Amino acid sequence: MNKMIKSFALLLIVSMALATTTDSGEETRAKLLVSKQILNKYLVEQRDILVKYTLYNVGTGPATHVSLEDQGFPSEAFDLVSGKLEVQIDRIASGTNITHVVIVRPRAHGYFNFTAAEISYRPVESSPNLQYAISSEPGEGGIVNLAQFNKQFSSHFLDWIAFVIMCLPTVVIPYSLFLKSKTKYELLAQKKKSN
Amino acid sequence: MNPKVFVCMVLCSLVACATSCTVQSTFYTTEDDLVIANQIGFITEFKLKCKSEINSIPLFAEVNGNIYPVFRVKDDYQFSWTEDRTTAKTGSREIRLFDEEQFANYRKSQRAGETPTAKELAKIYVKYSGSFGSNIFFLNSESFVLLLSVFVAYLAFQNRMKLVS
Repeated sequence: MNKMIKSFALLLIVSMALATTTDSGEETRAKLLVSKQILNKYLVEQRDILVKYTLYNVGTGPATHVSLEDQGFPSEAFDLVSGKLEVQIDRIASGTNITHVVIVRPRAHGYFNFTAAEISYRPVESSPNLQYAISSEPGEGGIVNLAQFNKQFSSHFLDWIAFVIMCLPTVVIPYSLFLKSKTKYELLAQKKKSN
Repeated sequence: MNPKVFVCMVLCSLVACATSCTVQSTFYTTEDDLVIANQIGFITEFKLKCKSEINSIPLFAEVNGNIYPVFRVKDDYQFSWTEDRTTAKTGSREIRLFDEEQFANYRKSQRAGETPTAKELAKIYVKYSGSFGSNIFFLNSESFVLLLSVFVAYLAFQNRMKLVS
């Protein structure tokens, strides 16, 4: 009986220890989900492209030493207008999300494959082991030629001014002729009345 | 520098007396409605200089009543967010910067249901002057030309009616 109690106590201690390690392991592990989105209706040469990265910590512990790097916008194809493509953050608490925004401008038109960003972080704060991950991939997008885009979408303000100027002679010349004859005959009528 | 790049150098935008921190910031907001779908991007990059000479401390920023951690770019910082175009109001956005200690105080008072009274390290202002699509004016140029021609036709007909009568 005594032996049985001892073995039961031992089993209880072992199971408790196991439960604590699994619990603590589950409690303190961070898990980051990263989305990369292009928030544009049209991708146009030399016009802004709004890129938004959202980092969600769906794990049970904080993610530390988080580093986000996007090599998907090479300097020969894109101008970086604002924001940085390589950023760090010390800590992302569990259950929270943060966003990072970058604005780039494509230098040329054509098809471009928007690839994923790379992320590294420490899932367990006390452990120096890094977890590497990649974000979602926006995929291939067609960048429209600026002249083509303007042809379709610009206000054509100057074009309309030119059109009005071109229309003016056909309206103004007959009107001035009419006005001229009108004043002439009105003067004649006045003269007749006075006589 | 591109003239459309709406970058404003705000030198020493605020010197918080309590902590003697100065912030040097630049900002950019997207204004092109025609190519960007329903979102306005706000980006501010800044350098923080404090008396304590620790220039790369973890920072937290509060904007529109929400507080987020700030991304670090070597010794500088970047804080960025997006807003829905339909709800984004024109004008200045105030960003309050907190260090870890002040952030803890902020959260504490938030949890207690009180208005956070934590003193910020510094403030940054990001100006948003509205976005536009293909037209700077509220009217399309083709509609404007149509209205103009209708007006001219009206004048002509009125004159004709006068003459006939």
